[in-house]
Amino acid sequence: MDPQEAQKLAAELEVEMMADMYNRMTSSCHKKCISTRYDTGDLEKGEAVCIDRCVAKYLDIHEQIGKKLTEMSQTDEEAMSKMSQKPGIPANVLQR
Amino acid sequence: MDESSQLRNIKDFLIIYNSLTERCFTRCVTNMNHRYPTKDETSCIHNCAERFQKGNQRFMKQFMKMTPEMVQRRNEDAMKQANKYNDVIIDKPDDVIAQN
Repeated sequence: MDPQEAQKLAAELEVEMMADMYNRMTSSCHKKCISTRYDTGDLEKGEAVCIDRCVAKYLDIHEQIGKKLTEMSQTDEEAMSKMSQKPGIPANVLQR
Repeated sequence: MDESSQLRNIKDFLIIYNSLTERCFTRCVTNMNHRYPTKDETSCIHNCAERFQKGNQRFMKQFMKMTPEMVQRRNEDAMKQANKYNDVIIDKPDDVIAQN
């Protein structure tokens, strides 16, 4: 695959994933912040502040989890490569 | 690994990433009084991600172990069915088969 095509695919994927994240975020924050007593159409001040904080926290957490996942998968990969370097390790041990 | 399966893997990973974020956020973040996550919330998130990852590894391991057995059983059943069909045809004389 040439790099330009790969870049285009990566950009498309990123957009799709951002859209998915946005939908999940709005759904979660809606559950947490917006009351279900629909006696008025306006947002109350508390709800507005809650939404601001909710979005900020969600994005922070999204970042933290991303770092944690990459860190854990790197640790896994290192452990696997170390084990494969040692001679005479039977295959069933490596699969653990 | 060919391109389409690589792309699928990347996409799967990103979907899992997003759903994990949503799940951990829903369970761990309960306090909307602050703009930044509290210490408790942060450690909850870390534990959530770690436990999910370990659970996922275990799922994969068991799946890899049990799926070939299931596929083999299914193939054996299919073979049995096919053989039964063949036996039924072979036992009939040629002119009967030609009529049907």
